Order: sequence, then C-alpha cells, then structure tokens
Amino acid sequence: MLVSLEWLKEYVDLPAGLTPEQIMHDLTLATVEVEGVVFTGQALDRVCVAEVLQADKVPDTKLTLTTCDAGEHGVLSVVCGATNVRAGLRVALALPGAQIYPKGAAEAVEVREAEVRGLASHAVICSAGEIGLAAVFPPADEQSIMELDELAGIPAGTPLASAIGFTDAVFEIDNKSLTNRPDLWGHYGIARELAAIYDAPLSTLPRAPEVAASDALLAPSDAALCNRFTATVFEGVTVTGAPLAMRSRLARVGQRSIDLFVDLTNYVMFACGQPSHAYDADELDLPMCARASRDGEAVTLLDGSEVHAHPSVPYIADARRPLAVAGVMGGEASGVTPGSRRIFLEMANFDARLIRAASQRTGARTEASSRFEKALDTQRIDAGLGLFHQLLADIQPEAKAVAFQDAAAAPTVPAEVRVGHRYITSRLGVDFPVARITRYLESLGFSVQESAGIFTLTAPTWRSTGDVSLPADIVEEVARLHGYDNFRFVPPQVALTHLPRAKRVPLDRQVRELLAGAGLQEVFTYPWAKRAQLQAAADSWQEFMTLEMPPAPDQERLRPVLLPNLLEAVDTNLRYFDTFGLFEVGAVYPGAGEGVAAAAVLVGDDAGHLFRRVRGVVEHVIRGAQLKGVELRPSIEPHDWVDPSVRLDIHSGGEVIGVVGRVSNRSKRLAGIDRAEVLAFECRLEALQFQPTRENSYQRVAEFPTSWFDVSVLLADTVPWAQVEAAVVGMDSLLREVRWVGEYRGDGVPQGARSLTLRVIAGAEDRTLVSEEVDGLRARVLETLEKTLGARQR
Amino acid sequence: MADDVSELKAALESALAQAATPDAVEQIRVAYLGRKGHITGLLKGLGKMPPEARKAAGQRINELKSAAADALEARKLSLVDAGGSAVTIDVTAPGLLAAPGGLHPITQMMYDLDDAFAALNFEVYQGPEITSEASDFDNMNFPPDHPARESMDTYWLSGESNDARRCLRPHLTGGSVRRMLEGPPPYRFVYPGHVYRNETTDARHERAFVQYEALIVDRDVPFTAGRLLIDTILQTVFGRPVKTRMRAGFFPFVEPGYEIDMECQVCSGSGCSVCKHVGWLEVMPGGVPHPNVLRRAGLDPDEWTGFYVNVGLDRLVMMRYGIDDVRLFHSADLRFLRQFR
Repeated sequence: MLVSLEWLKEYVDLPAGLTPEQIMHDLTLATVEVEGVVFTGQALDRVCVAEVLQADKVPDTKLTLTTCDAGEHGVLSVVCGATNVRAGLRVALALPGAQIYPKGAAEAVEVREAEVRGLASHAVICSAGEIGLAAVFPPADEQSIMELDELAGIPAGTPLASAIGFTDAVFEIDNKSLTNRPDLWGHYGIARELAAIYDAPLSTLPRAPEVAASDALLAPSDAALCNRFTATVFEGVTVTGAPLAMRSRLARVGQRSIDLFVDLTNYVMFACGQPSHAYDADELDLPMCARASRDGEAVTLLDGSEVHAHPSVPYIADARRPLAVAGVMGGEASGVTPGSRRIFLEMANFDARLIRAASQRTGARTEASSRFEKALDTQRIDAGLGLFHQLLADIQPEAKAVAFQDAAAAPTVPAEVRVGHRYITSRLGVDFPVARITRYLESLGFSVQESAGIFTLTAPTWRSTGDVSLPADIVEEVARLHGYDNFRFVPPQVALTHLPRAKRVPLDRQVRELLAGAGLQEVFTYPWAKRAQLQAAADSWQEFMTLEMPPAPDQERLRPVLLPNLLEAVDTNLRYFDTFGLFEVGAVYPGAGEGVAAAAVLVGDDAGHLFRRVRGVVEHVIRGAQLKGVELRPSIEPHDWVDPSVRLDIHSGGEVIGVVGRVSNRSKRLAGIDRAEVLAFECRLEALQFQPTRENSYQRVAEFPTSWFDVSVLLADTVPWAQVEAAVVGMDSLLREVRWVGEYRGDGVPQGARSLTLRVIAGAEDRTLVSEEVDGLRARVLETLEKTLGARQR
Repeated sequence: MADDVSELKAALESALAQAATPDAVEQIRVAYLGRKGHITGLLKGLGKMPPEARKAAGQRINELKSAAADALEARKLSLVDAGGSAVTIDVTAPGLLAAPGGLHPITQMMYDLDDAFAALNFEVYQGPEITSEASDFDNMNFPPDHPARESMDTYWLSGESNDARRCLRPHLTGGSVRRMLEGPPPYRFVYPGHVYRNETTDARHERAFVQYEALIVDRDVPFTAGRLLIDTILQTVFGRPVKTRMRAGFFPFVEPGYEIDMECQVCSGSGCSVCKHVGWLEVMPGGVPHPNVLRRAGLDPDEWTGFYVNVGLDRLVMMRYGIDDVRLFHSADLRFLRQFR
C-alpha cells in the first residue's frame, strides 16, 4: 500500500522537523513495516510550467517552432512535434538535464539542447506519458502534449512538481504486515497511528448532512453477507474530471484518474479505508440489495470479465438483475457514464470470509476486496459518507443528495477487554503506573476505566473486528507505543531443576558425529524419492506414503529407507570423485508410520577393503555411542540392495534393525552407477538404546612383558577369518590375542586360496616367556591351523 | 715430539671445525685414531724413543688421544642433534587428514546452537516430521478459514480424510505444543528440525529447509526475555554480539508478535544492497505464545507466559559463509560440503 505524507498531514499535525525517514523508522518499529519511501518530486526535476508565447508551423514538416516563456529560465525557442501546440497554451517544459521517457523508450533519456531541421531547440514540451503523469492528466492521445489550463494562476518557470502537488514523500507499506489491522487500510488510519506515536493532534472527519430518508432504495439483503448497506441518491450531478488536487493525490498512491465519481469513491477509500460504488441511478430498477447469486445469473464486470452464478459469488442486484459482485467489482452495465445525471452511491459492509471466497472464485483481487476481506467495522461508513458529501459539495455545489437509506443489520460491537494491571506490568517487566497505561490506550481510541487494579477497556470499533480481544492484545498496544527498544532487558528468573531427559546428547547427534569422525561426509537429501531410485534400493516395499502435490510427477513417494537417495548422491558425486563416503541420518516413512534411520555409503574400487571399512564404521558407532546389545551377524536373507555374498545383519534385541554389505550389481545398474564399488549400511535408530552408564570392563594390565609372532599361512577361500581366530584363541592359556595383519592373493598363491597373516600375542601372569616357549607356541599354532583348517605354512 | 703433538692437536681441531656431517667426523676419527691414524702412529713411534723420554711422551700422546676422542664424540653429537630429516620434505604440500569426513554445515550450526542453549539449561526436543492439520494449524491458533490452510504450499499427504489431514510439517511450531503436553511446566527447550514447503525452487527458495526454534515458558517472563533467546542464537552464529531490534509483527500463534531485525552484517547498519539500504535485515519472527496456544498445551494463560523465536537456519548459514544459492544444501555435492569440514 502506498501512503502519501502530504495526504497524512491533512489529518495529523506532525511535530516540526520530522523527516520522512524518521517516520518510516518509527512506523516500522511500532506498527507496520514500511519498505521504502519515494520522493515523487524527484522524477520531475528540471520540469517547469511554461507558457507558449508564439507557435509557427515549420514549412513542409509536422513540426512547430515555439517560443516559450519559462520564467526564471528565460524565453526559449523549442521545436515541438505535437499537433495541439498553440500560442497561449500552458505546458510542461523539460529543461536540459531533465529525465524524460519519450514514447517507446524503456529507459529515461536526458533532455539536451538540440538542433532539429536546422532549428535550435532548447527544451522539450512534454506529453503526460513522457514524464509519468498520465494518471493525473489522462492524455487525449499519445501524440498530444499536456494542456495545463488548470495551472493558469501559476507563474511560468514554477517547478511542475510543486505546481501539481508532487513534492511529496510516499511510503511503501508491506501489505502482509497490515493483514491484521483493517483500520490502517487508509490514510486516516495511518494518521491516527502517527498521532498516537507522536502524541500529535488528529483532526476529525466530517459527518454527512441529514438527507431525506427513503425506504424505497433498498430491499432486505442477505444477513450473513451484508452487515450494513447505505444508499444515497444524488441529483444534478455532472460527470466531469476530478479536480487536479484529487487526481494528484490518487496518482501518487498509484491510482489512475477515471472520472469525478470513480475518483471520488477511490479517494474516500484511500482516505478512510471504506470502499463504495457509484451507479447511474437512471439505469437501476430499485430497490437494490446484496444477495447470493442465482442459477443462470451472469454479470460482466468493469474489467470485461464475465462472472457466473456460484454459491461463493454474491451479487449486488436491483429488482431486475445482478449488477456487481458484492465487495469485489462493479458491473459494466450500470456504471456512471458522461451522460449520467443522477448517481446512486452504494456504501456497504460485507462479511470478510465471504468476500475472500468471492475474490478467490472470481480471480479478481481488487482494492475493495482486499479491504473487505480484512474485516472492516460498519461505523467507518459514516466517515466515508461524510467525506463523500463534503468533497462533492466543494466540487459541485449544485449536486444535491435527495434520498438516503441505511440498512444496518449488524453494527460492529466494540470489543471489551478486562485485564489486570499486574498482568500488564509482569509481562512488560516494567512497573508502568495506571496513568501511563491509560494515556497510551486512550491515544489509540480506547475508552479506559480502572478500578482496584483491573482495567475495563472498550476498544474503538475500528479495532474491534478481530484485532483486539484479549489481555495479551492490550500488552502489545502498551509495549509498542512505549517503543520496544525502550524496554530494558530483564533476565528471566527460573527455578533450577534437572532436565527431564538425562542424556544431553541425543542418539542421532552421537551417530552423526561418530560417522563424520569415521571419515564420512554428511548430506541432506529430500524426504521423497524418485521412482527409479526406489526401484534400485527399495523394490520390495509395497506401501508408501504419498504426497498430494509432489515436487515432480515421479517423486510422489516418501522414502521408506534412506539408501535410494544416497545412491543418487553417489551417482552425482562420481562425476567428480572416485573414492568417497557419504551418510545421512534422517526421517524415513515406512508404510504408514515414521521412523529415524542412519545410512552410509563408501565408494571406491576395492570391495574387500571397503567392506572392512564400512564394517569398521558400524562397529565404531556401536562402541562410540555405547549402544546396548547391538551386534553384527551373518545372514543370506534376500534384501533390496545387498549382494547376499557380502553382507551382515545388524541385530538389536533379537530383531534385525539394519544391514551392512555390498550394493548389488542390479541396484547399482538401476541407480546409474556403472564404474565403482559401493559398500553401504542402513540401520533404524529408534529401537536403539544407550547403555544406562558406560559399560566397558577392566582387565588388569599385564605385569610382565608379552611376546608376539606373526604367522603366514595359505588357506582356502572357504575358510573365514572368524574360524582362524576361534581355532587359535582357545588353543592355549598363554595366548592372549590374535590379530589380523593382512591377506594376499596373487603370485605364489593358488586360485581359490589366500595367504593370511596373523599376529599372535602371548604372555603369562607371573613371568616373562622364554624364547623356547614362544617358539613352541608358534609351532603349535601352525600345527593346529594345518590340522583343523588345512592351512599350509608359507 | 712436543711439536708433533701440538701440531696434531691443532690440525684435529681445525678439521673438526670444518666437518659438516657425522660421516665427515667419522672419517676424521679414522684418520686420527684408526689403526693407521696419526695419533695411533705417534703411539707406535714410542717404542723407538729413548726410555727416559718415553714416559713423558707417552703421557702426552695418551692425553691427546683421550682429548681427541672426546672432541670427536662431542662434534658428532652436536652435528646429529642439529641435523634434520634424512629425506627432503616439501612443507608446502597439502596436509593429510586421517579420515576426511564432516557434518553438514547446517548440522554444525545446529549443534553449536544446541550447545549454547544447553549451557542455559535448555533441553533439545525432537518431534516427528509428519504432522497434522490439528497439530500445525488448529493448535497454532490459525482460524478455520485462515488462508495458510488453503494455500498450496503445504505438502499434504494423499488419501487422507478431510477432518484428519496429515502433512510433512510446514513449520516446527506445532511441535512445541506436543512437547508441552509431554510434561508439566516450566519449559525451556530448543526444537531444531527439517520443514517442507511446496515452492518453486531458485537460488533463494527451497522445498526443504531447517528451522530452529527456542521456547521458554514460565511464570512472570517479561517479553524482554526474548532478547536472551535472540542474542544466544545470533552470537553463536556470528561469534560476536549482533545489534537487533524488535518491532510489531503479526503471526496467529503469538500475541504480542514481533519481527526481529538484525543489523546488516555486510554494511554494519549504514545501508547497502544486501539490506536494501535499510541497515537492518529481517531475521526471525518471535513473540509471546498466544493464549489459545498455551491453552492447547493445557496451560492457564493467566498464570503462564513466555517467549518463542523461530529462525531459518539455512538463511543464517548462508549469511554466515556468504553462500549464494540455498539449493546447494540439499545437493549432496561434495565439492560444496567438503568446504565446511
């Protein structure tokens, strides 16, 4: 919404020296967000009022050579191409340095002295469009220059901006910040707010004169739709243009001038927020009413669109036919025309929800509908009527109001709020006395009574349509008028109690930090997954949660597991990297529920190495997060993405909660991954529990040094490490530990076998082992491996 | 004889002074104390000396031998101690990380904030991502006809009955009522999480983003307590105090409601293109929980009050690092993510 400072000043006597920037700041902090301020005069810099003294046609051209009196800028010769230029005319003259928009130019052009057909031209006589004033001076045609007869009394040389009232500051207010303040949708409302902020005097709006009452203008309206309907008939009117001052104000707030009566209704709306509509009374078949549309009824609106009957489209209708969509837009057939002599003025109040529905249904978002849908009070019609009467009387004294009817079905009831003094002060954190609170609230139009620490407040009607109803609303009014920045910080006083949750760091955070520490990079993916990715890594799922309006047609399914999106991330990153690890911890949506899962992928070319790494990562998380009863077990159960020959299950409490293994060739192919090995795990987290306290166990540190030796043996591939470890560890009480050193396949090792190197640690509690003992153990280890597992020493 | 000893001593000292490596010192040792060394030679010559001179000469030569051995050892140790690596090392080569992994930059910021609030004895609350119209609109005091319910920017689940519609949560605030219903007041908790809106994406708009919410509910909490929440967040993010201001704002779930602006960190408030020449940036909404919201949480709004703020972490992280495209956060692109290890 655009708000003119010059217009505001008609209603509020602002303190001297207040800059537009300061008003913008103060209004933003206390009331609504002012997004910017535009100084409308700046665009008219170096454009002045001038009088054409002489105009001579240039032979064989369409040009006219003029002599213009530009007052203090001198008498200038100017070549002009317009056909309506003539001696004696008042014109807008753009002097060198002015910025103008010649017809068809997208950007401003600076005026310079020029030579046209050998004739010197020292300025440009402007059309309205060239200087952005078509809204104030509707041009007869694009070629014509402005004819400023209305500025007859203004001396030549006067800056045009000041001559037409454009030395103004216009505020741009964010409409979103106005949604809950219907009272601010007009200049008077903003002025009232400024009066309260600056403690400045506010003028009152005129009241309408008595008009002969009639009961023939209106028929009963639909009570749910219409809270008040006033009709006034004016006779003896002439449909001319509106006066310059009115057109100028309307233009500055973005409204084009149409004719006197359209301009009057717009002006009243921008002044006090009350929309109205003027009909040609001679086109109507009275009485009028506001009612639901009936089957088959259609209206052509002012913008040429056709509206058909619908339960959510209410009409304004006369006895014969519908004429307008109530609260949204007038119809084409019944509008004021240049020949109109009698005017029927509808000024009414409609239900906010029904007008919003009508606006949505018709697709017409108008100045009127956007006001009505915020819920206006019925009493502001009185201010609107008063202003309309006064303006018309000033402009056309011969016009007379001859009949008036007021159908007030449901006047806005002033909101009453009872609130304790202590409620206000405790929530403000400051002990404001009753008198100060009273002063703030009265300046906003509240009537205030206080007794025994309880305020009984009556809100003004303009704040009573939903904005103010609760004690908390009153706290806000006092706080914002005092100024939020003027409150000192009061540290909150709290009782120190322990937190309801014992564990400070939640499991998902522990898992993320452990995975990142293990060399994986966290990624965020979306909660939905593409069909192709789901086929690759979640093919066995039958049921999905789906979105009504998916981001893309193939992404309507929410992910039941994390891996589909991680495989997509692998594909993305393989364009730039050969070896990497990714993980995600996030929500999953299996079937009809929601869970939390962790998943990771390791990408490279050596599947054996990658498997040991991913297994190490899982074991690292289990140990690091102190998880209870989680272990890895072999399995060959079919699973969506796992190669059954390289896989383990993650068990917890007798349940399989995850899987770790190699991503199968099929899954990789479907996910578009063709040149890398991918090892992965995915695990549900919600079933996991921390150990109640740390549960590592202590073993005495050996008093005597231990000895170690390495053994390398050839073993068939069918013999797993776990068997080797088990065979050696239980062999002798002196053997403390068996460690994996490495495996080797290649030269000297037959197909189907590997060379395995293990390190054996041995020691006794009561002595250091002698070398004969160690050699003996070494021989027995070899012998055992040979006998039980068919190993051969290398 | 005496001259030989003095000469050898001087020659040895000068040779040692010139020796630059332990190997050179070893060569000198061989030259003087080896089987064919100079000092060894002198000792061998003793036998040819007259017996009366032999004792004195022998003593002097042995002193020289012992002094030479000490000097050689000392020179060798000093050269070893002062020596560096056996191989040439390029100190400008890039550093190696044992395990190059990392948290997402938004997760990092979230955990920094969790830690800051933990220091104020705030609990970290987590709620489900699938929520309902009842939770996120009814409980939040959105009127039945509020446009946000009708709007197309919530990801509603399909196949839901009209009176119990579920959705991917469009904001976090509904979860705060859920938390309050879990136990008695007072409350001090933060609530981080992913939220989803059906938007057309571009450099400034994403469908999935992360919000961070903080709520305090107690008796007699003045609205200025909100500054504690605001300052904790902004100081943690920017590492220094940030000037803020509160101004009137309207949201259905708070009363009074505020828009909270921070001083533009690019121009320090003097006005630039980032802050549209205002000097301030709108950074988060906040306010006192609306009485209807407190009632939904089973609290008497005359007795309990509080303050709540909700900040978009994506935008804060973008401001913090100068990131110019919000879509990078969900790109899973390691070229981007690895910058924040």
